[in-house]
Amino acid sequence: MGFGAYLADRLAPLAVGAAALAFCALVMVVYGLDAAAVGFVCAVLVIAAAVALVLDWLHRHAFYRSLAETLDALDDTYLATELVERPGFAEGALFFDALDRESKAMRDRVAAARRRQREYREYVETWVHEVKTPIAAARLIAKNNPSAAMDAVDAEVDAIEGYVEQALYYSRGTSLDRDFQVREVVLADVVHDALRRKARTLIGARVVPELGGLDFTVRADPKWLSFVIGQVLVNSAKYRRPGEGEGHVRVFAERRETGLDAWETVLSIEDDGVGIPASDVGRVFDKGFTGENGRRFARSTGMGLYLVRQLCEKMGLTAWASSDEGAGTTVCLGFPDMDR
Amino acid sequence: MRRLLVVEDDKGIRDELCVLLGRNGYEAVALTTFDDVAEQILSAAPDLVLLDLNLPGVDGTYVCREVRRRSSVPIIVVTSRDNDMDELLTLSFGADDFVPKPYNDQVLLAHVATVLKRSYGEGAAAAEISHGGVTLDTARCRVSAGGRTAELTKNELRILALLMRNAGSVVSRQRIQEELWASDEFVDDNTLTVNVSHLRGTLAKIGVEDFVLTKRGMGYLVE
Repeated sequence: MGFGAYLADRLAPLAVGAAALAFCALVMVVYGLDAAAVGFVCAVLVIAAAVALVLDWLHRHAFYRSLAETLDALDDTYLATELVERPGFAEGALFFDALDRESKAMRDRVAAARRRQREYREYVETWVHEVKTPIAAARLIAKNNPSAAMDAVDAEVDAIEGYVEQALYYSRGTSLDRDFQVREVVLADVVHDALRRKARTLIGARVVPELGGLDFTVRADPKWLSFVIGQVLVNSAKYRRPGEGEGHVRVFAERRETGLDAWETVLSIEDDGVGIPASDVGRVFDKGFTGENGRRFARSTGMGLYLVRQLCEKMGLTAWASSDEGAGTTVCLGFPDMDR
Repeated sequence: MRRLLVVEDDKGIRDELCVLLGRNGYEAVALTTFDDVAEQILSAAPDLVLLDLNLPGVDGTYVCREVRRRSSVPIIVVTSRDNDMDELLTLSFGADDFVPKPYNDQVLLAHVATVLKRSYGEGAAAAEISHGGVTLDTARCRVSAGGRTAELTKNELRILALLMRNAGSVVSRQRIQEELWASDEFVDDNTLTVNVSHLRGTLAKIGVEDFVLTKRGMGYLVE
C-alpha cells in the first residue's frame, strides 16, 4: 500500500480535520489574535497530524508489503499466512485471522485430497500387482497346452495385460509424486525391450520392425520409456494399412542441434500405416481423443498417446507427431542433453 | 538332470511352471506349504530356486537372506512387484537374478539357463533334446543323427528346439516368430521361411529328411 493510497483511504477524516482547523483559525483571527500565533498553532497541529499519519502508515505498510512479497514468491499461495507474521494493529489482525482461517480450511482440503489420491494410487498399484498373478498363470497354461484355441486366449490375455499396464502408468503418470528414476540408458536396449513386450501384437498384425542407429545414451526411466515406446509401436500395428503384405515400422535415432550449443537426441518411430488426417494431428496427444482413425480403423480409447506425452513431460522429454494421411505416421521423442 | 525348486504360493502358476520346466528338461519340485520356507529350501537342496517375493506370512527378501546365509544355491526372484527398489533389494540380499511377472516363458527359461551356466559351468543347463533319433545339443548349437553332426545357426537352433519340445503338435508361425523376437531377433515372415528351409537343408546333410513338416496355413510340426 503506497502512501498516496493510504491518504486517499483517509480522505473523509482528513477533510473534516482540515475544515475544523480552518474554522478554528478563522475564529482566532476574528477574535483578533496575532497572525503569527494563529500560524504557529496551525503549524503544530498539521505537523503532529502528519507525523502520526506517517508512523501509522509505516506500521501497516510493513505488513502489507511482506504479505504481497510472500504471495508473489509462493506457488501455493494458500500457504502465505504460515509465513507472514500476524500484524500488531487491530484491523490487520482481524484481516489476518480471517485469511488464516480460510487458508487453513483450504490446506486441510488439499491435504485430504492428496491423501485420498495417494491411497487410490496405492490401491491401483496393489491391484495391478495382484492381477498379474492370474495373468501369468493364464499365459503359462496357454503355453503349456498349445492349440489354436489357446493361442487365441493367449492373444486376449495379451490385450488384458496391455490395458492393465495402461492403468498402472495412468496412475503413475498423473500422480503428484515423482517416483521414477531417470538414469542413463542405451536407446537400443529400451527399444528392444519394448519390441519384445509388444511382439505378439506386431507379429499378429504383420508389422516388421526396422532398426537403425540406436547406439545413443539418453537419460530416462527405462521402464517408463519402454512403456512409452510400446504405446507408439502398438499404434503402428493398430493403424496399419489394411490388405495383404507387411507393414513396417522404422525405429531410429539421431542427434539434432536445438539452439546455441544445445543438443538433443531424437528417437523417431515411423510407420507406413494409414496416417492421421491433418485436422487431427494436433490433438492426438489429448486425453480421450480418438479422432477419425479411432472411429474408422480400430477401437481406440484415446489413452495411449495421452500417456506418452504425460510420462514424457514428467521425465523432461518432449513428444510430437507428424503424419501424411494415407502414407504413415512418425512419432518422435526428444531427449535434451543435460547441462554439462 | 538339474533339480529346480519352485517357491510360489499361487497354485495355478506353481503347477504350470512345473509343467513348463519339466517339459524343458528340468526336474521341477515345488513347495506346497509355506512355514519356515528357508528351512524347507535348504533341506530340499535343489540346484536352483525360483522364488516369489509375495509369500503368505513371510517376506521373500527375508527368505532370500536366510537361505544365502547358509547356502550358495542360485536363486532367481520372480515377482509382480516390478520396481527398481525391489530389484535392488533382492539382488543385495543375495539373489542371482530378477524376473518380473508376467514373464514370457522363453525369457524365464533363458534366465534359468544363464544362471545355471554361471553357477555350474557350461553345459549345466538342460542341454540336450532328443526326438525321433535326432539329438539337439543346445549348448553347442549342434544337431546330430545316426553318428553325423552338423552346426546350426542361432535362429535354426531356436526354431528346431521349439519344434522338438512341442513334438507332436503343430507350432504356429506366429509362435515361432515370438520365440525369436524374445531373443532380440526381430525376423519377419519371409525370414522365418528362409530360416526353416536352411534348417531343412542342414538336417538333410546329416541324412534327416522330412523331419520338419509344413502344415499349410497352420505352422510347422515335428512328429
